[in-house]
Amino acid sequence: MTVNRRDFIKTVAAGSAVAVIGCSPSAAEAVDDAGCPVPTTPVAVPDLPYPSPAYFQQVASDLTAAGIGTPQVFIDMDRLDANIAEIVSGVQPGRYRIVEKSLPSLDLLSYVQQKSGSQKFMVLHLPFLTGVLATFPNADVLIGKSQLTDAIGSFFATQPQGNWAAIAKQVTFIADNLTRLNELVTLAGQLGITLKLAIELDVGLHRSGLTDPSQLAPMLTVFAGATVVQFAGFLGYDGHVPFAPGGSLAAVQTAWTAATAVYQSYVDILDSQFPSLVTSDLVFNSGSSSTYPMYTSGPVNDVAAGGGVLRPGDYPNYVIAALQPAIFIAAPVFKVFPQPQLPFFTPAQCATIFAGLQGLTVYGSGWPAFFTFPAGIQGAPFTFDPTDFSQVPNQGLVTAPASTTINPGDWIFYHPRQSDALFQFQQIMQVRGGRLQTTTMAAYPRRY
Amino acid sequence: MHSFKTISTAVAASLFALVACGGADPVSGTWNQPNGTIAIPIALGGGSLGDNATLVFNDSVSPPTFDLTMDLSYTGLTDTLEVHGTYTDSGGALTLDFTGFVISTGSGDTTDVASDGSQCLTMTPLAGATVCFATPQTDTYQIANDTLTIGINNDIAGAPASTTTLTLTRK
Repeated sequence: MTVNRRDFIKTVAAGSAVAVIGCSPSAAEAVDDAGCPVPTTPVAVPDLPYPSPAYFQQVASDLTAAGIGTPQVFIDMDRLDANIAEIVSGVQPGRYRIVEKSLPSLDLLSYVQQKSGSQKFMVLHLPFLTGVLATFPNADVLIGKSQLTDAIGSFFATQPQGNWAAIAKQVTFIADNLTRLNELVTLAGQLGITLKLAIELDVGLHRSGLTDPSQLAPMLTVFAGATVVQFAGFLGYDGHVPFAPGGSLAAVQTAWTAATAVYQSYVDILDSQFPSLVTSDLVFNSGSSSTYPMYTSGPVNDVAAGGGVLRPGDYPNYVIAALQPAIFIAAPVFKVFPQPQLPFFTPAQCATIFAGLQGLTVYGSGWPAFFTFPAGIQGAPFTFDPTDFSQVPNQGLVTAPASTTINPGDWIFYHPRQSDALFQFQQIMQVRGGRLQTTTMAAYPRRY
Repeated sequence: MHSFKTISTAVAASLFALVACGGADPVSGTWNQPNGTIAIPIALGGGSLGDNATLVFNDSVSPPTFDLTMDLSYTGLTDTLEVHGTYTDSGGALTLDFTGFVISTGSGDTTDVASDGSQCLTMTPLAGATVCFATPQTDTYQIANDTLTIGINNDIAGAPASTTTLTLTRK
C-alpha cells in the first residue's frame, strides 16, 4: 500500500497516539500486526550497468572542488556517445528520429544530431518547435502527437508569414481523427498553405489515434483530392509494448507483433485503395527508446527514440540492455542525523523506524529517480513515498546505512526515471573520462 | 410501361410548352436536386459527396445562359461550387460553354483555366480539391415528369475524367 499526503497525516497522527495509548489503527493506512503504521517498501534500484562507486566519488570530488553547492544534472558523455552509436546501429541507417522532448536542450540535441547524423526530429511540444527549426534548418520534423488545432494556428501566428509555406514543408503535423483533419483542412485554407499531415494510429496504447481501420478511408479520401493538405504517413506509438503483461521478452515480442499487425492493416488499406497517395517519402513512424531494436521488419520505416541515449531508469530492459545509464542528478547533503527524528513520533519509535540508519537532509531530493550512490540510500520512511508522491525538489530527508561515511557538503547521486528530468535544470553538466568538465549545455531557452 | 405514360406525359408537356410559351426551350427554368450525391472517382478512394444542386437555364436572353450551383459536403467539409455559362439545346443534348465561377465569400476558393481550356475551381474548404469542367462540352439529357437528368463531364482532383449525373426536379 502506498502512502499519500492524507495517509501520511493520518499515519503520523496514529503514531502520535501510539505514544499515549498504544497503536490504534485508523482506516486505510499501512499498519503492522500491532496496528502500528509501517513505512512503504522502497522501490528497488533497477539492475543496470551503473558506474562504479569510484566514479561517483570522483565526480562528487569534482563537484565539491567546483564550489557549486546546488543540485546538478550531468550527462556522462562517453556513455552518451556509446548509446547514440547503439541506437543508430539498432534502428538501421536513415531511420533514426531524435525525440526532442526527452532531450530538452538545443545543445544536447545538436550533439545527438551531429553524432547520429540524423536530421529527423520528433517534436512533442510546439513551444519548442521554433527553437528546433532555428537550430536545425534542415530538420525534418514530425510532431509526435496530435495537437489542438488552435495550438497549431497559434504556432504559425508566431512565425513570420513569409516563412509559413517553408515551415509547412518542413514539419509534419498529426491528425488523429476525421474531425481533426477537417479542422486542419480549414486551418490550412485560412493560412493559405499546404499542411503536411500524418495520421495517428492506435496500435494498442489506446491513448490517441484511429481505433479501427474502417476510419481510415474517409480520411485518405480527403487527402486524395486535396491541395491544402498532403498525406505524409502514419504515426503509431508503441508505448505499451515494453510493459506487456507477463514481464518477459516473449510477452514484449508478442505485444510488438500484435501492434505491428495493426499498423500493417492500415498500410494495407493505403496501398490497396489509395495508390495515388503512396509515395517513396511516406513516413511510417513508431518505436521508442525501449523498443527501437525490434523494428527490423514490418511496415515501420521511421523509428523514434529520445531518452534512450541517456538511458534513464524507467525503461524496461528486455531489448535495450546495451544502453547504459548516462544521466544523473547530484545533490548536496545539508545535514546528517545519526538519530533522525520524525514529527509526531516518539524518540523510541524513531529509533525503531531508523534502526541501523542515519538520516540526511539533502538539497532537492524530490525527483522521480533512483538513488544510485552511495549504496543503500533510501527515502526516509513516511516522508518519502516510493511512488514518487510529493516529489518537490526542495529538500528532503533520506536515509543511509549507519555505516556509510557521509558528511554535510557531500553528494548523493540519483538516476532519473525519465530523461525529461533535464527540464528542471537550466544547466546540464558534462562528465567525460570520469571527470567533470568545464563545458556545460544549456537547457531549452523557454518552458511550455 | 414506363415508357408509354412517361413519353405521353412528356409529349403533352412539350405541346403545352409550345402553346403556352411559344417555343421556349424545354430545359428553361429552375431545377433542383436537394439531397443528391456525387460519386467520388475510384482513383480518389470512392465514396460520395453530398450535393444540393440547383441548375437554372434562362432562354430569355441571347445566348441562353445557365447557372449551376452545388452545395457540396464530405464528412464535415463543405463548400459551394457555382459555375455559369451559356448553352445551346439541340434537342436531347445541351452544349455547355462554361465561362466562369462565382467564388463563395470567404471560401478562399480560386479559379484557373487549364491548358486545355477547362474551367477549374479549387475548393479550399473541401481540402483544396480542384474541379474542372471541359468547355465547351455536349451532354445528353432527358426530361420526364418534370425531372431533368443530365450528365456533366468534369475532372475532380486530377482523377480520370468522370461524369457527374444530376437528377433534378423542376421548381
